[in-house]
Amino acid sequence: MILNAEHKKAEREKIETIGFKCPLCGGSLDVEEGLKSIKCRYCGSSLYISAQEGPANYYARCRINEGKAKHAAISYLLRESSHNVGGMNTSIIECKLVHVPFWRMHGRLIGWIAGETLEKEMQEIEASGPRGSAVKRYKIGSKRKPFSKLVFKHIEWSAPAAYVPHLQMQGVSLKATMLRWEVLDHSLKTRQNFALPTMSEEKAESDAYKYLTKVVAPTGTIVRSGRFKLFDNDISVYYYPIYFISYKHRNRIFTITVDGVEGRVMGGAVPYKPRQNVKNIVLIPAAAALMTILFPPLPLIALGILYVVDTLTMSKRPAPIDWLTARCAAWFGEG
Amino acid sequence: MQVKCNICGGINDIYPGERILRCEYCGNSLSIERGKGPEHLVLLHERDDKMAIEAATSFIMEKTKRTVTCTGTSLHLVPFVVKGNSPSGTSEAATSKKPFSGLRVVQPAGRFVFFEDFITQATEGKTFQKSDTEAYETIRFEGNASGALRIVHIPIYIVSYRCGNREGEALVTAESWQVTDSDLPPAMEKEFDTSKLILPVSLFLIFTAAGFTAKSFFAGALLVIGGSGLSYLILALRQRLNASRP
Repeated sequence: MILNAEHKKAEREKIETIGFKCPLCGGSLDVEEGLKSIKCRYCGSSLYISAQEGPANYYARCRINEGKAKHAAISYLLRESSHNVGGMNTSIIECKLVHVPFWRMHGRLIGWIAGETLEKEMQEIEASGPRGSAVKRYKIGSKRKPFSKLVFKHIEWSAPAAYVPHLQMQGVSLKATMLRWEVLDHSLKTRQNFALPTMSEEKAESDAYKYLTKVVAPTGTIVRSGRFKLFDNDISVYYYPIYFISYKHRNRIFTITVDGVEGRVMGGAVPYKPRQNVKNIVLIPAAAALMTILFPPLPLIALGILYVVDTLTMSKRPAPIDWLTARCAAWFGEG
Repeated sequence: MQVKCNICGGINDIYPGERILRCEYCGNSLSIERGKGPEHLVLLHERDDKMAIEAATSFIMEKTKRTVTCTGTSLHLVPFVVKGNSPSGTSEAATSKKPFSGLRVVQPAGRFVFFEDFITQATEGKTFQKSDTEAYETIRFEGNASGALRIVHIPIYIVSYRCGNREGEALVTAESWQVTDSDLPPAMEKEFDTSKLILPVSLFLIFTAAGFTAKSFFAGALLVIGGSGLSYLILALRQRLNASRP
């Protein structure tokens, strides 16, 4: 390992600590991450914490051991590939438990939106009938109507805080209320696998705001203006345990993700195996044979019709031999 | 890393991402105030050349449909600046050294420690082994860290390979096994395997011959249908047997 003095200097930063003290009585305060207000335990005064102390971090304990996760992944793989993948050519090369971060925001949104709705209605039109008589005709048209709405609702938003390949989970909103979450002990980061957030708190907040203000508009309306205020809102990071199981099949690596709390397979890649389509292999020659014994040139005629029908919509007609190889590949399995 | 409590003077350990600490001596809550600049973290990694080669092979095979032979690997610890608003979620290498300059990777998941601890603690074998630090060639951080969430030092493998008559180098990110290679040989054209036609064509010939031996069309049709049913059964059974074989 090559390391020079400059290198070391760059890393060594000044880190200081500041103790929290009640400004009224001087008593020490027990503050946790993400906390915005606190009551002094000595003098009882309510205090607001103005310092940016970062979001609260929570994590769900993994309830599934590695064996169970692997078992779930293998049965998923067998089922999905209809027992075609497995055995000698396939082996699990890595099974990794990763705590994946999600931003979660909950709170209340108050606001007001105004715009227009489109309403469908029958419109009467005058038309001249035969021999100059006036006839009533109808037409379906749309009419714009102004609309405004007061919005007041509880909001719950969640999104992955880091990009993790093969992650098959959109958020933890529902799980956040169902599961038992524990306050994260940061020393875990040096002992277990963590994906650290790569999305900043500001970005998460602005994303949440954008999303939430978009969903409050009812369908079929055009919002022209709006004003919103989020209040009582709280943003925090939730780490959710997910197993990433990589396996090798014929020198290719694929990954399956397994939920670390429920043990359910969330998704995964299954190799495409060029399979022989038994049904086509038997059915097509049989049909061709039937046609031949009925009238020998019939299969050729059928093939010609199929070629014309197949290439009818194409802008450039491929050569018959190219078309035939492509058709054969589709019928009898690709090479 | 260690910090001193400003109330009682006790020394406490702090960990990546920690903002508030409870002093283990006096019990006070302490806010951790960093100086300028973000945290420098290191992704701990145990050198695994085999896995790097497998990842590179898998990637090149998928992209080019050609066979690949890997000839050598080397491991480097490369600094990356993680920005909080990167739309694709990737971070750029903070070095001008080739081939890492301009490299963009997704920050892998793993065990993270402070860069300082990585150097000083490794000798004590406290949280990780000494071999962890000795496996790398370290690339110096040269870049702008302003507005960054953190600087992560990620181990990157350089895997040299031969593919056809071309030699190249692929960069493999440790732990996530993400492969980057800008100079891949062109993909091979997929061709239809004509040997796949043997079975359908011979079946067609057999059916036709059987059909013509019959006296009337209906007897012939019956023969063809019966024959195709039988061959379907045989083929399906063979496929089932092949699949269940260990």
